Amino acid sequence: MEFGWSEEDLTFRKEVRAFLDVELSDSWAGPTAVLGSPENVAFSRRFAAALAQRGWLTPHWPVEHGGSGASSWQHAVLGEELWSIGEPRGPQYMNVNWIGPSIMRYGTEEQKRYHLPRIAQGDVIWCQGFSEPEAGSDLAALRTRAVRDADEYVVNGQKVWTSYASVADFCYLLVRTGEEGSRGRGITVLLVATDLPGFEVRDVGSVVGDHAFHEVFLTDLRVPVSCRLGPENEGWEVVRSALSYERVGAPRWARAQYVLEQLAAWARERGELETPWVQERFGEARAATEAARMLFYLVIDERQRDQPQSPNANLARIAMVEAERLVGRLAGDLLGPAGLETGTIADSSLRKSMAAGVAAGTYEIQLNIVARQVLGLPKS
Amino acid sequence: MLFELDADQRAVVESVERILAVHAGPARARELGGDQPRYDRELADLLRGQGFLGFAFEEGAGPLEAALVVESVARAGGVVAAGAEALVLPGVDAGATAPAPVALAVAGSTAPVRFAADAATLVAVGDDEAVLVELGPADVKRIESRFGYPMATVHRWEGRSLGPGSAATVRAWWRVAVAVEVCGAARAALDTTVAHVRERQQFGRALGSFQALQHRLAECEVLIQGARWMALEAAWSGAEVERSAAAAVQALRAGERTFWDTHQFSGALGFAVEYDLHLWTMRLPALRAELLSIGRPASALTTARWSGAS
Repeated sequence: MEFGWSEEDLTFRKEVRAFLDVELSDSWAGPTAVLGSPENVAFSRRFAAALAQRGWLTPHWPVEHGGSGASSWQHAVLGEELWSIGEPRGPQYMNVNWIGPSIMRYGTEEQKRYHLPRIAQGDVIWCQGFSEPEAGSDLAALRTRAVRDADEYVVNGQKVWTSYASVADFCYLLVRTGEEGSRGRGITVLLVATDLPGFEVRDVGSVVGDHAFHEVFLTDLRVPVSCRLGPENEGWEVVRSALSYERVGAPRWARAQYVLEQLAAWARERGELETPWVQERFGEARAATEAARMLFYLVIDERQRDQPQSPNANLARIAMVEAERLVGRLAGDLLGPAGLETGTIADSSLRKSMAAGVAAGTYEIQLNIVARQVLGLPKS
Repeated sequence: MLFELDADQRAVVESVERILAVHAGPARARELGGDQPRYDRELADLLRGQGFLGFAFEEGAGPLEAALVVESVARAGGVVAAGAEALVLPGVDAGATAPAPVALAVAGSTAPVRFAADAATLVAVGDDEAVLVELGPADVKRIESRFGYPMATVHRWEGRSLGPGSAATVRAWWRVAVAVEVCGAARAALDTTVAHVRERQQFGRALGSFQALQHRLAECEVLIQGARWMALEAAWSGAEVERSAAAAVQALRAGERTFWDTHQFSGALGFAVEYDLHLWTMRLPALRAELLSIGRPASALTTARWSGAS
């Protein structure tokens, strides 16, 4: 056991920082960026292409798929550096962290040839067609139906809360191909181009950010069977493996630390950093982000050592939610009424942290997993 | 970065655990007086005799191994001042020649001090300077306390100065040591409670199958694990000021939650001295009070990080 960075990783971090200093010099909105806004998406497309050119969009991918075979630690360093300035990759983190790896693992040669280079070059944006009006945390209850018709699936149904659907080129779509009530045994994954007829997107207004969510209506959408990822009715396994990447994929604690630094600068300027309650709350929030950092590293360490997937990813997620909430609450309390103005650090932080415990598997689902798999408590 | 023990560390932890399996644990804690225990000279001698309380702090080794020992002792309910002896003293007085046992106190305080009744050396921390005080039986007065440690007030404060500015170093190591102890005690309390709610049947089902309990216990698990890794990293860093304060903040939260929730879910049984839980939980308020006595760690963290002082 030891907690030092290798020389190699330290050098890598320096290179990443130097690159970001240049690439983000004056065009990046930082922590108040509105994720999913047209400006944000346009920026992320340019930025992802620049990252790709440097070999840093998919550094952890195998070389044959456009990666550079970097270690899990370097992947983590890159994620940390990007999240610590507000995640300028925007939607790309989904592609590179789990959609790409999922295609590598379950895709046909043709799917790999078609999709992986596009993702590795930063040319495409994906969205994930998971949640439905009647299937949120209980994803296995999804109803969107796909019926085989010769060489095609005909898809009918509805997805909701789909981030980036309005700008996405492709959708990683979960559909039911099994009997009604077949739960996890009757789900299939389709890789769908969003410009196909029958794929209709509508914005859902939201208080956590404009352009954050969408509804997707699928009406007689015809998807070639060649777009199926993995075997029919075995999509649940495909998705579970994909989600294991997503659960800890984003080092959101790094953004929380960044926001905390901004808040500290705000407080210092106004002489508030000496106020006892302010000191107390900054210390608590900072410590919570550090706890999340250590649990995130615990997962990266497992990954680097090729250990089987464990509930440590769920522990890390829980700690990250806690950290984001403490920072969000502090932002609101510190700025007071001034933070109610749109675009302020408190406005942005408070509204972003509201989503922390909901996106990518709710806080309560994570607690259930820890209760069962770590503490060994019986099912309720 | 490596989160699993290397071969040497595993050997240390396994040896210490073997000693603790025979010479510590609930039965031994009861023999020593339960919630009002005597200092365990026999255990301290065994650990000290094999070098487990006196790692030399050198480049890349020492404090982390010492922290692992302190954690094991706390988890086993050992009544030994392992944190002060194995982490604080070597951290603040390189080549430590001061005699053990070691106690830690805020200079001039009239409050009870853990292990002072039996300590040969007291590390007394003032605003700027810390001093090493040689303690004799006439310098302390045992007091009654039911919070799991032998306690005494201290009546002698003159000693050898550790130099100007040494108080900050002492506070940092002290925070690391107590954070590790909190994590060890909280871990044992949580494990005990999880075992209880898995077995205990009410309303025709195991208590632990109720989600209301599951979520709170899972949150305790996350808090304890987070605090533990932070405390170990802080030890590894040589009690770097920010890391030590952050570890203390998180340990306070973990200890607080574990204290209230483990008792809540153990019902009246948790208050019974014949049941083990109190052997760990009653120490948590003592450790908390001690941590807070040297300045609120959250404020210390904020000051160190954003105001450039400790």
